[in-house]
Amino acid sequence: MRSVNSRVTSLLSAGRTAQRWLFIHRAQIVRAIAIFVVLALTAPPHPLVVLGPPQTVTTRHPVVCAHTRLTDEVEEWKIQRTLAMVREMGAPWIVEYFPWAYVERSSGAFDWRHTDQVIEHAENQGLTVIARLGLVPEWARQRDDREPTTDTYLDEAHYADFGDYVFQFVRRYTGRVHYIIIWNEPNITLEWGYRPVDPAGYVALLKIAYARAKEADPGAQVLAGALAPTLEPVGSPFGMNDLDYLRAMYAAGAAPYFDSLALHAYGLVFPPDDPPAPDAINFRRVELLRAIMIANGDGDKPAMITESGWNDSPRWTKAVKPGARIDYTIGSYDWAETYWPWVKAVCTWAFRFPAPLHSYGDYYAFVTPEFTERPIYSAIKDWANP
Amino acid sequence: MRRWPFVVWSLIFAVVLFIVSLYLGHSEDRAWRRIQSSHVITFAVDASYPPFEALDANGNFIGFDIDLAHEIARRLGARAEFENVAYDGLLGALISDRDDAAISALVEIPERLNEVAYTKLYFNAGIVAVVSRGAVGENPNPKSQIPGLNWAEGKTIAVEYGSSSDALVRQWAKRVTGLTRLSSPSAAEAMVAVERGTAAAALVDAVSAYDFLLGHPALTIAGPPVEDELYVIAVSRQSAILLREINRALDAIETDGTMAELRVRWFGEAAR
Repeated sequence: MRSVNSRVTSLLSAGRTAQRWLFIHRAQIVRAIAIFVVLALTAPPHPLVVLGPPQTVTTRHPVVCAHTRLTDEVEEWKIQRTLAMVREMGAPWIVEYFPWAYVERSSGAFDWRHTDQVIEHAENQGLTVIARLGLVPEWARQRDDREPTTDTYLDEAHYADFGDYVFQFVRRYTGRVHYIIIWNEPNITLEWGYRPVDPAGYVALLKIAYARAKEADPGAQVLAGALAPTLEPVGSPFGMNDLDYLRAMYAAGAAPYFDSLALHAYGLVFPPDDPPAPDAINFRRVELLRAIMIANGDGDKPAMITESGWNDSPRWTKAVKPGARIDYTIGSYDWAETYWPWVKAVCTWAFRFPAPLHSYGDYYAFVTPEFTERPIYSAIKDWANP
Repeated sequence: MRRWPFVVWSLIFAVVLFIVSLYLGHSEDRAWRRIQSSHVITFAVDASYPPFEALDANGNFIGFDIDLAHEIARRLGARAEFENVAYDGLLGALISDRDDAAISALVEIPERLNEVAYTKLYFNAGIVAVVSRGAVGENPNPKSQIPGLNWAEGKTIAVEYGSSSDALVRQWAKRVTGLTRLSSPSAAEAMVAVERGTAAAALVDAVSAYDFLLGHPALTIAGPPVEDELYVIAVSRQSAILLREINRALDAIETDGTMAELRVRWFGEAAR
């Protein structure tokens, strides 16, 4: 009883102390509240974003395409500005990444807000969207043995879940997004959940994705491949040579399950006219992939170069001088227009990053995160605009 | 009266907490403890960026950063060893406790400050203005002539086509009247334009400028860099003592003239 009384006394004493403290510091408290109110009232408002009248792209070179990187861009005005700059440059196409993991964070619950914003603004700028779909949500990559997995890991038991995402995406944007790319660079282990790459497994995934895309919109164009150009030897733990992988895809019966092949064509230190060879990675390596398509009866199918470009970082050994980068990039569009009637678009990686990477990757960009035009942007704009 | 014991106990508790935190802070600096016991400091380096770091024909690490690392190690009573790590993996080598420090013409990445700590800057490789000595007159310290927007009015400025300098001058041209941008195929050719009098200045990166000025005494660098690129050394965020000791060493190296000697050795007199 005495103990309870003493606790009550202590509490009352603490209450009185607090009351005294508040009374003594009342002036400071009022001042702090006033500062908070002033700061809240004077904070700059979020920029008002309105769509504006629909735009069209004016260009002399319809093959020009930019791989934008709006996936992690959270400010709507920056999404709009990026896409307006792509249009002004004279590129009628964009490739953009719409990660499954961002949209369907829990099974069956889709959050399309960001995706809607990007599609709406791209459409408003008159741009044709090629949508890259991939990145596995956590709920779809749990292993039975509870081993950790990466966000590119998807086992066959969850292929149908990815198919559902493809279906929902295509259905939602029917008539607005006509092209989808299924997965990215499945021929390297990094993009295949750090497992040995598996062309037949990818074809199984492609088959499901293709069927679900067509179910949602029979007019949807499904792009497969997007293989990483690599010379990895047989048995490499890092991946499989892209030429071998494409042959294996055909051997696994891929042909009926894609409408177009997505190609990655990085030039590294070589000019765009550097001749292709199985042991060289250069821009024209895609001609070897094209030959495999033809050999497998897919000569009538078009292709899209969904990643391409040169880098001008002063400290990357596979980069070129800034002037060469400009010449090679324009040269690559020119080459595709002149010699590759089967290529509909050459999409250069990457138009702008939302934040600096602080690495050589920054030197792929056409404009800085703050929208400062790099000279390559101006050069392509001058070249492409009438 | 009854409040005194509470105040006293609170003070004692605070002092104990402070001492414990100091002890923990020091004891967590595993890199420093390792250096103290082995007298070796291991640097992660991406040896693909001469003259800062590269491998010679025999596979030895050479370059400005390498010499600086040796000098720092010497002043810390240790020997420097190097591990060749790809640029994107340099900070990872610190976080995983594989190496003690990273020196590789690194620029600070603010987003990584929760994992690593950076020393003070030791080299500015930013964009500088190269002008003819005649243009800066008899001023014994041409570095006091600060080029900028006002200075650029009515002038022709040469740049390497497509470079960061080119982008910068394009921005200036929107705000300055009479500025003419002269595109050159390389930084060296931009500086040749100044030498020939077809441009008032060339904006180029500091390392290209130092290299070119070695054989062209008629030219000089005017003012401080117009755009900075500051190189720092990185350590793990747990390495508070090592960070302090490297900073002290850098101060001493700068103060006693060793840094100037290293700069001259690798970049020429203009870098002093």
